[in-house]
Amino acid sequence: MGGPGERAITLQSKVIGTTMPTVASDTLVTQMRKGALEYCVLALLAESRRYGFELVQVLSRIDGMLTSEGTIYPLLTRLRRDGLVETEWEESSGGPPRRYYRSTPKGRAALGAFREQWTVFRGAVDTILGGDKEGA
Amino acid sequence: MMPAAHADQIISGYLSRLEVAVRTLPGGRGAELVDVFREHIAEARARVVEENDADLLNILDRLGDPSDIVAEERARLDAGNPAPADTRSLLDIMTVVALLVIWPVGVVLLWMSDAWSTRDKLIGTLLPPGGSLGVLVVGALLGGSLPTGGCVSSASASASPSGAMGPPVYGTTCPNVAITVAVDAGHVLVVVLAVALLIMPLLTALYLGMRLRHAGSRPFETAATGRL
Repeated sequence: MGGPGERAITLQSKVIGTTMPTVASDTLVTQMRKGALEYCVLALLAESRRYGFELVQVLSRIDGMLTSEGTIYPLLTRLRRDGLVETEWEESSGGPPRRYYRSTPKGRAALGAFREQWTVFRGAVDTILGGDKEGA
Repeated sequence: MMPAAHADQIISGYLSRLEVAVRTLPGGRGAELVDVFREHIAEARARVVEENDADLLNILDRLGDPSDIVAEERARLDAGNPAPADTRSLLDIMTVVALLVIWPVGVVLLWMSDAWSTRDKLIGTLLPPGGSLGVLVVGALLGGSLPTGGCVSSASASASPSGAMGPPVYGTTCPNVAITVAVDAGHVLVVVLAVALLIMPLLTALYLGMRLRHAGSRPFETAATGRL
C-alpha cells in the first residue's frame, strides 16, 4: 500500500466513519455504505492491483466500510463479471497462488462518473448541513 | 504449521454452508465465490502463528454468516436486474395462448414482444402455417385434392372452435373415414398430416413458452460472458 493510497483512505474514513445515533440513520448509513463500497473498491484497485485478502485488510481498517469481511467477495465477483475489474493469478512466496484484482478501463470510467456525482452530491448535502450546523 | 485440532471440521462446515447458500445465485457465481472464500481462509490461516480452533472461528466470524452474505448479494442482483414486470410475462403467456386460439392476434402480440428473438418470432409465425386456423385451411386444401377429402376437411372445420381437439371429431362427423382410410393409403397420409398439423401449433406454443423462460434469464447469461 503506497503513500497516496493511505491518504485517500484516511480522507474516506473521515467522511464515512462518523457514527450516527438513531436506528433510521443506521439503515441510511448501511444503504450508503453498500452503494459506495463498490466504488471504494474500484478506487483501491485503480490505484494498484490487490488480492482479495489484502483488499479486505485495507477496508476493515476503515471504520464503517465493511460489516463483515465476506461481503467484499460477491462484490468482486460482480465487478469482474461486469468487466469493471479483471483478475490474474500470481505465485506468492511460500503460499498458494494469489488471485489479484485490478481495475479495467471500464472500471476507471465508472469510478470517474461516480466521483463526479459524489462530489456534486456531497457538496449539495454539505451546503445544507453546514448551514444547519452554524444555526444550531 | 500445525493445523488446529478441529480445523477440517470447522472449515468444511463453514464452506458447506456457503455451498448451500450460493445455490440461489445465478451463473457460475456460486462456485467462484466458494473458491475465493477458500483462498481467503488460506491467506488468513497463513498469518496465524500457532493456530488453534478459536483462531479459525475468529477468521470465519469476521467473514460473516454465509447465508447473510449470499442473501445480501442476491438482493443486490435482483435490484440490478429487476425481474421483468409480471404484466410483461402475463402478456407473453397471452401471446402464446393467442397463437393457438386467435392466431392473427397472437402473431401481432408475438412481433410486438421483445421476449423472443426474430428467429423465434419467425418460427412462431411460419412453422404451424397460421396456427390452428391455418391448419384448417391447409387441411381443407389437402382434403379437397383427394377424392373423399371433403370429408376430412369438413371434419377439421368442425374442430375449429376447440383447436387441437380436432381428431376425435372425425369419427362422429364422418363415420366412413375410419374404414376408407384403412383401405386407402392416401387417406392414411391425409389423416397423419392432419394430426401432425394439429399437433404442430401446440409444439410451437410449447417451444415459444420454453424460449420465453430463456429470455427471462438472459441478463445473467450476458453478465456471465463478461471476461475473466
